[in-house]
Formats: sequence, C-alpha cells, structure tokens
Amino acid sequence: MASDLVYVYAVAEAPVPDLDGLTGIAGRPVHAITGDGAHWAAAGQVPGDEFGESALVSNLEDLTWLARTAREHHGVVDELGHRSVLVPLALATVYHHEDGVRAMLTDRADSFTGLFDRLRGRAEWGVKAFAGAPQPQARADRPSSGADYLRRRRAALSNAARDDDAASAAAEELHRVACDLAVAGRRHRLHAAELTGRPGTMVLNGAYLVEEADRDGWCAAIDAAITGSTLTVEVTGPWVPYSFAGDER
Amino acid sequence: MSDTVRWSSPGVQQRRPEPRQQSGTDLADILERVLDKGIVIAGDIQVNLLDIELLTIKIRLVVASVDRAKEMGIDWWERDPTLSAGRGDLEQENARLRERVERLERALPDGAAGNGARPGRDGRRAAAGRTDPPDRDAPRRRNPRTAPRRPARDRSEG
Repeated sequence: MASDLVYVYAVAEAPVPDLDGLTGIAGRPVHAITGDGAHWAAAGQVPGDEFGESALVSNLEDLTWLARTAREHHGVVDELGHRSVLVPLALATVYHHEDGVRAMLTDRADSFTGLFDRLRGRAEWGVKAFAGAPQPQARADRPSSGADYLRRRRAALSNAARDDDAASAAAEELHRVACDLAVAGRRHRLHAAELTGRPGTMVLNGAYLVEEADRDGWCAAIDAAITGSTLTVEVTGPWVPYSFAGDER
Repeated sequence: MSDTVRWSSPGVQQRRPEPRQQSGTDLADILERVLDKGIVIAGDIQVNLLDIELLTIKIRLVVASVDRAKEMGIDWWERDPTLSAGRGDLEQENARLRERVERLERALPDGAAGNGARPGRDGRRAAAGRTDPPDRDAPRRRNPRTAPRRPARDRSEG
C-alpha cells in the first residue's frame, strides 16, 4: 500500500478561513499549508496508489475517475472561492510531503502576490457562441446539367461563406462587448462542431474577468448584445478565475 | 462561487438564474477549466496533462456527449465512448447508403456513374454518351451483392 500524497487544490491569500467540514478528493478533509509568506495552500491527503506517477497516468485516462476527481477538485476550489482570494491550480498537482508545498509557496511568493492583486474582487464569466445550423437546401430536385450542378455548388459555397463571415463578425462584436466592461478577456480554443453535440459551429469560446461591482452591468450588456443575435449564446458564471490564474499562455 | 448561473439565447428575455447543479454540461465546463486552465505548478509527481493524447481525445468526447449525458443520466461514460456513440447505427446507415449508391449507378447511363465519366479521358465511355440504354453493358458489371468490394482499378480511374 503506497503512502499518502499531498494534493494541492489552490493557493490563497491569508488569512486562512475556517476549513472545518470541507472535504475534497476521496472525501479527505482539506487543510491549510502555510508558508512563510502571506499565502497558504489548500491541500489534502490523497491515496498514493491512485495519485502516484504511473497510477495517475492511467487514472487520467479513466473517464469515470477523471470526472469524479475533476468535480472534487472543482468543488474545493469553488467553495474556497467564496472565502478567499485564490489561484486555482491545474488538476493533479501532487507532492510527496508538505515540505515541498511550503518550498513552492516560498519560491513563488512574488508571482502569487501579483496574481492576487489581479484577481481580488473579480470573477470569471464564460461566453460560448454558436452559429446557426446551416439551412437545408430548398431545392431537392436534381441538377439539370453539369453546369447547373456547378452553379448550385458555387451558390451553396458562397452562401456558406457569407454565413460564416456573418457569424464571425457577430462573434467579434460579442467578444468586444464582453471585453468592454471586463478587466480582461480571453478567447479559448473553439470546440469542433461534431464534438460539442450542437447543431451550430462554435464561433466564440470566451472567458472574461469581471469586477464584482460591474457584474450586473456586464450581464446586462451581454443580454443586450445577444438578444436578437443570430448566434446561440451560452453564458456561465461566476467562476473562480481559472482562465486568468496562469501566466499569459 | 456557488451562485454560478447559466443562461442562453434565444429566449434570453426569460432568463432565470439556475441554481448550480452537477449536470453533464457542468462537467464539460469543469473539465475544460481544471485541465486546461488554472496555474500549472510542477509538483513532485510529474504528469503533464497536455502530454496525454488519449486524455485530450476523451475529454473532447466528454464535451461532445454532454447532451446525451443529460438524457442518459450520469453513467453514460462507463461504456466505451467510441462504442456508445451510435456506431451500430452508422454502420447500418453506411450499408444502406452503399446499396443506394450502387442502385443509382446501375440506373445511370453508362459513363455517368462517377468514375471515368470525364470526356476525353476514356474515349469509349465518352463516345458512348447518354443516349445508350442504361443497361447496355450491364452483364459485364459485377453483382454488387456478391462482390465484397469494388475493384481498385475502378477507383483509380476516377
């Protein structure tokens, strides 16, 4: 039986809030590891036979394990987001001993200080926009000739291109509006249409860092921008600012 | 942050913040964030999430299947996602379509069936033109039901 390891969920700004009753991965309690600075790490013991290097590699390939662990990780981060200014860590940041975590807190103290200044009082919002599904061809009759076929094909392509351009322009505009009242905005990788399970093509996958004080204004601006838009838009938030916690990457 | 809301257009006017729920859609959102965002700090156990190619593919399948996940409940990913994604249906549809294409090709005048139909490429076929009876050389054709697959030269001609 491998010995327990130390899993770090997030690094947060002091003071340490009440962590009583907060549990994370494998139902283990979450506790604070404090360095010598103004920061602490939210950590928990995890089973070594699940989070050791080789076990971790194969577990990450197991969707059931991954889904459960991701939820548990996020659950802790999300709950702590209420209580502290924090920087969420990517999934599966694991140490052998708490000493390693303390050393990390010390080594990165300056960078954490900078991140906390950036994130304090702000939350992340997500905006995903999808272009409408392509219109089915009105004319189902067969082309009368090769030239007719080519003509139709050209028309279909140019209609599709026009729709794509319009959707891109609408996405640009939505992103601009979302950035307007936000401290920062990022466009994340778009998900391929066949993978989102939606009829339309994803044209915007944005994350926006919004001041708590501007929340209502930002939501209202997005509402106004997407009402009557040709795009289908999904807004989620507030999130702990995952997308703004890293270095600029 | 437990007051996370979700709203969408169209129908944005009826927007109502929904209480946070552990739904399939949430899972996709969560995975996107905890795997791809968040600060990456090298712990003692070194697993680069981005190095695991299969992981990425499967995550995308998770994202792909959120609507289905909602319909099916939470246990959908316990089955192999590549098998659960309607593969049987696809094979059936494929067979139906193949049969239909072959039926259509038989009905078409010779030379118009896609391969070798370009003028000048194959003098005999081009000259045969569209006035030929559709089944002029039907006896020479392979029976598609008994032929396991079309001969390779048919494809290379086109």
